[in-house]
Amino acid sequence: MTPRREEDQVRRLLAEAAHPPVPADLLPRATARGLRRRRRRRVLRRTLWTLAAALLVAFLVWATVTQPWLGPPADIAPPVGGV
Amino acid sequence: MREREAARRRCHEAEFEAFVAGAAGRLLHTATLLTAEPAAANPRAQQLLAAALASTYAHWAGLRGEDPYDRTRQDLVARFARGAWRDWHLWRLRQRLHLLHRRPDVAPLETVTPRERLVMVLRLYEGVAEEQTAAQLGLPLQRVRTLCNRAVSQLYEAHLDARTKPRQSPPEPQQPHGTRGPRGNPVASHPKGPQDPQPDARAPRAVVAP
Repeated sequence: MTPRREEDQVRRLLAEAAHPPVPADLLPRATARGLRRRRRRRVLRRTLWTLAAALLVAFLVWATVTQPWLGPPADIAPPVGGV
Repeated sequence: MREREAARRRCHEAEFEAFVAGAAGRLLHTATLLTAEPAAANPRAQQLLAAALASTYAHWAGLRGEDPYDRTRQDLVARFARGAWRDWHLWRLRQRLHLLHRRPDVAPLETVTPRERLVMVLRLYEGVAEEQTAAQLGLPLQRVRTLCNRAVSQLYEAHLDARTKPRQSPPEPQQPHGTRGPRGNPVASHPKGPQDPQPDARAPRAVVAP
């Protein structure tokens, strides 16, 4: 544990250090970047949802066409022998 | 639909602008303390802050009662922590190669490692509680305490002590990072031991000591 006095002095040092001026372009820069990021996220989200929907549709179509829950057709018959 | 969207965006923009007008000064000061840059030339701090603010703005609609200041500070801290270790080593390297001229106004802050600086700034400048700092940085509470104390005593020696005492010799070159702990300074020999509840680390030595 450092003595309280030192801590207070360091606290004062940090608070009293020269305050940097806020650049004028900070707000527009941050806003533009934030908008870009939000747009990118929205596009990504939309793409993923579309992909998921497409996959679901494809699966449903495939399932209705092939009907995999019906067993394989019993098309193995003994060869017709003897003529 | 489109109009409503535009109206909401304008509203968010106005809110965000008000937030930045109020908080940017303090956040930029925090960022500049973290990067240990001089106030007049702090490109890295500005970059960190712009990125953190952008992230806050991107999530503005989904904040739902969360304090935007806390969120931005957390983002800032995370960004700093990600790049800090590499930057610190680059800085040491440049210093060894004598490419870096020490700047008198921020030099003491630069001598503290980025992680110590981070903990110290959060605790002492931002006034974040120890538990919260530990949770945010993913460190044990004891470690946060140690880092902060080490940073404070080192900064105190490097800067505040030098200010009160006349300097007898020119500033000696930086000691390597690893040997900093056991240096026989008046601060490090303070009652650090007894109050550090680390019985497993200290007890065996105490047994062997007599």
